[in-house]
Amino acid sequence: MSFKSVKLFGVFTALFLIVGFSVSLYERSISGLTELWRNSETFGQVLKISTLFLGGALLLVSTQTLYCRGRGRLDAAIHITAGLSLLLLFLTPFYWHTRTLYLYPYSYVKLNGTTVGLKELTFRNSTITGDFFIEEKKGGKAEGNVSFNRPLISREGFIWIRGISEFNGAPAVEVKFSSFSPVPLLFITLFGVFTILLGVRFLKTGGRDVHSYRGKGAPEADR
Amino acid sequence: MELVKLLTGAGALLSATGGVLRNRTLITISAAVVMGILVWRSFTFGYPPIFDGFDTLLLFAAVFGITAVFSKADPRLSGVLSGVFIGGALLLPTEVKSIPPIIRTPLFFIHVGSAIVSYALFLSCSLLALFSREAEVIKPFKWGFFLFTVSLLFGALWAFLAWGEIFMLDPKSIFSVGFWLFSAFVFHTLYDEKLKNHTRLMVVFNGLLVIFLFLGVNFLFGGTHEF
Repeated sequence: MSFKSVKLFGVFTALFLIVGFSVSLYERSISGLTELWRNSETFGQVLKISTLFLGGALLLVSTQTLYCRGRGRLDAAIHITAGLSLLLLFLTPFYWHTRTLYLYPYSYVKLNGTTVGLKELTFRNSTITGDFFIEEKKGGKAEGNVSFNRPLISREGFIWIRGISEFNGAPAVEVKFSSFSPVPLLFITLFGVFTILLGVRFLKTGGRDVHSYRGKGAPEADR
Repeated sequence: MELVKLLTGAGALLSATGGVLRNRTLITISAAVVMGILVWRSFTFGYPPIFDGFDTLLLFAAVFGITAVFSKADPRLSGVLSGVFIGGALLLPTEVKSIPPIIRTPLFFIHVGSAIVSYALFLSCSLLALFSREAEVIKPFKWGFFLFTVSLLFGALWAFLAWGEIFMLDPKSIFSVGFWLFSAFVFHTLYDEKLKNHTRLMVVFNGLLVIFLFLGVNFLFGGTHEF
């Protein structure tokens, strides 16, 4: 059987769905891919194996997608961007890690030589805005406002506000921090390009039913 | 009687009449009336009301009507079925539940809106593949796939901006990617000499997966998509 086989694609997809069912059944505390490196330590044996198989199925689909290029430049570009997007999804737990921190106004935390701090916290019209900074050992510094749906994205790192709580009368902000990683930005760019190319492809061919045109001279149908 | 219910009833009658008379124009006008109701309600509430049964069923009925006309399905079947779906909405309350302000972002509406339209397209293709042999279902199926891809893209973008993740290991996200792969597999079967004979059957099965994804996943497993 060729690695380009559609049947093989079906097998990989079925594997993903079956293992996905197992992960959904056994995982009780939802984990993001960026926290998987830490949370996986608490996983049971079945969940650990299921997660490994889920990643394996994703890797197989992405490799096959990269290997199958279709015909023409557009088809090739669609398969490459789709395959790379899936590959990046697979690589996310290895190359992009986040940590959850709790900060009070005018406090900071030092993480492996990087200082993450909160200066001011503003409450306005049910919106919370924090004035954050990231300071690197090497001298790089980034500052900016962060609120829900609006993170700080810089070369020095990323900061998100996850929530707010109160301790001894002072507001404590739940913050998610990660060092700079090209993975999420690359994934969104590649998947965005893939989506646009897919739309162009369907617009060009009208997404027509190649099966009904087979043998009637439509070049696509006779491949 | 409320104006919205009167218009919905008119849409149902138009579609059913179009079915009985085998008139595709009437079915198209009925779908346009229903889409008009949805646009009007979106302006009234300030956001697309795609989170309650009434509007979701109307959206599905309109997408089904349009898909049936464009895929050249049997007009009697498509008109009557579309009329039944629109008429079914009359049994549901028209009140719209308020959604939390934190999720009222354009990214959320694109993410959920494109997913719901893609579900409606996939389900329409599934019904047409089952009941109307002459219908060309792959063309609308591919557009369903495209819209679902748009939904995944905006879901990932929103998750990145809001939670610092591009993918959560939650049941809805896992099954969405699995479903997306299966949909891609369905239209790739046309390139396989043996599998191409079963493509329509897989389109029907894909519809069952949509029902599971839309109704079953959150109900059975819970997760971050419960709101």
